[in-house]
Amino acid sequence: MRKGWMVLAVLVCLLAGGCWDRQELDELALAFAAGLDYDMEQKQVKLITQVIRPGQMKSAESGGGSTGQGGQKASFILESQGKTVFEAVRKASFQISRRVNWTHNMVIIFGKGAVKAGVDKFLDFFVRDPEPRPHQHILVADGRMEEIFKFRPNLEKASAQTLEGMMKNAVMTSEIYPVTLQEFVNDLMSYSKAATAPVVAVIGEGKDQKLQLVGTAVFKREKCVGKIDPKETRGMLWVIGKVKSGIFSVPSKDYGEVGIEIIQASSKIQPKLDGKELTVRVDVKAICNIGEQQGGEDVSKPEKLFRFQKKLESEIKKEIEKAIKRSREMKADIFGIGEAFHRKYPKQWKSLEPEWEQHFPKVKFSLNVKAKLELIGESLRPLHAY
Amino acid sequence: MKLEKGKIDGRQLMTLMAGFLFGSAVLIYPGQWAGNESWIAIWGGFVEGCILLLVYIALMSRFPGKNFVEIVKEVYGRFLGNLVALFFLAYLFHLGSLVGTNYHDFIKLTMLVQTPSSVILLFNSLVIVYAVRKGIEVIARCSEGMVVLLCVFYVIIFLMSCSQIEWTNFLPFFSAPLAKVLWATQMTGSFPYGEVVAFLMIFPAVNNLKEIQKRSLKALLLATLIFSIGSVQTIGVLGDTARLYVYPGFQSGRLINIANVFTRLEIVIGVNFLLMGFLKMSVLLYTTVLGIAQVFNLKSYKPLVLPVGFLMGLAALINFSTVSENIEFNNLVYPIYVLPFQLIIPLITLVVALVRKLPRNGGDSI
Repeated sequence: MRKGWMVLAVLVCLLAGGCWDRQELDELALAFAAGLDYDMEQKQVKLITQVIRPGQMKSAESGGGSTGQGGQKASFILESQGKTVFEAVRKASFQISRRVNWTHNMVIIFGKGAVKAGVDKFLDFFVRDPEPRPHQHILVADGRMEEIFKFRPNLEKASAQTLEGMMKNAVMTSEIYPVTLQEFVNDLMSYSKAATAPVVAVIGEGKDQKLQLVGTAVFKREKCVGKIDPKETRGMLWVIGKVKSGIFSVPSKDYGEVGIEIIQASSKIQPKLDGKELTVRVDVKAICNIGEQQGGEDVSKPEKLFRFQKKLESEIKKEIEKAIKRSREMKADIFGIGEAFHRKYPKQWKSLEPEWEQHFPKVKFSLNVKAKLELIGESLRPLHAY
Repeated sequence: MKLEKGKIDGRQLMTLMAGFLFGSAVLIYPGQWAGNESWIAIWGGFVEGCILLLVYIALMSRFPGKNFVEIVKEVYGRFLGNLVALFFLAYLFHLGSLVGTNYHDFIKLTMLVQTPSSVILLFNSLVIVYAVRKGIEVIARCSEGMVVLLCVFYVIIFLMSCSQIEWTNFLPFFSAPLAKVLWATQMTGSFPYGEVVAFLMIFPAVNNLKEIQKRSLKALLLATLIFSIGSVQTIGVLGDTARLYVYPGFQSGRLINIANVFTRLEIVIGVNFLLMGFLKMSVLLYTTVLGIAQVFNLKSYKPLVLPVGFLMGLAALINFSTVSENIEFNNLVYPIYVLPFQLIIPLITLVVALVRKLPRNGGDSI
């Protein structure tokens, strides 16, 4: 009797695992990227899904970039429409023999129509449904979205993987600020802070096509209000302390072009409320190395190095000022200055918050940039000096 | 006549009570209502819980070796006592079914979307019925291992999400309106702290009655520490978006990503809840059937376990028609609904016992 129960228990564990929701790997179609667009006239959500063929993913060496065994492409796209994102998602499954699974989705890309209509209504599905993960990256497409999905990368199997890799490499230049679904939603929910997302475009024609991140889209609430270029993006990142690494080319008469590598950076935002006047003190600290020097006059001598540091500081300052100027034009608080005021002056914030759009362009910034040059590389003097 | 011959020691009482408190609270962490002030609500609830616990212990130590049903029978007499006892047992039964509702809501919302709730609850009830049939000793011994496991899991998850915590999310301090924080405190006090009222049925099974007070307070403190860790993690990682999710703690587990190797760890939080939900439902089913057996003077509570267990599962199914109804109930009704059971009945019983100078013959059962 006792043994019978044991056998029954083991059988239940083995046979009923997953219950109604069991998912066999060979019955799934994995989505890697979702493109969302909106047709204003027909009021239809247009969804492009990039689905991968798992069998083709593993044959890495077989040539032809995105093609795998038997010349089949490793990924293909599904286009579907619906009144809601969810409807479009289900219709995508309807076009193929398998159910599209969203647990491994890497990127969500918004088209022109979607950013105009407001992105929050399209993101609700990705927050509500248990399958999509909060780590997906949010991007905005510049130009035609299908091109991004049809783009065949050289190294990877699908353009989604390329985009994911680019997000990971963003720290190398700090000219792009990758945002995940979680961060994007967090910014959307904030009344004052403007959400941002990198803009991706396909550049070139035919065989020379390449994917490129061309800037950062700025959202006020759910609607896109403008775009800032990569340099301005770094200006923004200096302020919010998200610069990780990156290269600076500082031109100068004596030293020629000097290539500086940012090693470490941090920032501190201190808001101050003086009557009606809003000021923000931003302290930026950067530690840099000298990576290259093209001119003949040696920059690495101590007294010159200290003087050069000042120049570097003003370069960084210029970048930040550019970003501030753009954000004032757009009246979009991309730095989260409003949040800083909220934290420090919770009482006064209540009256500031509703008109933050008007207040923000009037906020005075006082920038204090401290740059420190640490390493000079393995050379004692520039090669050009000989 | 003793229905339960099993004995548990002080340590087991502590882990059992801590596990009971963790129950569904590890998932729907207490104090959510207060947003980024939830840690205040948690510690406020802890104080409230300690006061309630002292009332229960005062009541228990006036009648040593007697559980709540026996106490009310002695205090109010046979008829009225049985009535009060049934009223109280109905609450325990309902509470057990509420845990069951949370159980299947959670599984359905996050993992098994298409599986019918009845199947989830059937298997859940089977395990609980099995445990309760084996008696309090077995449940308590289960809790010893499970609670240690939960604490270890919790701390590991917290350490892993440390890198994601934005400390500025906690600022500004004290920004929520006082009424909101007070309501959140009462919510925390009633769920989970006040629910230890169920232990009035279990205290007599502890072999050393003197240990009860110290061990119970320790259990409350342990639970509070774990809840605090959980709320720090949730607010720190999610910030404002914590308001967006039904299960913010679960969502914060989703965000753990260490070198793309340690990902999808939210399932650990899910398992924590399943383990603790099992403990809580077992304790509630056990106390319910024990009480019913005493009210009706049965010789054993064992025949009752299976039917009452399945009724509890069924009640869990029909409690609410949707998840949002459940959330609304927890937020707006539950903190008031529990007052008679958690505060008024035990307190009045204590007062009546004091006034009637009970027990008359100086505690014969020591």
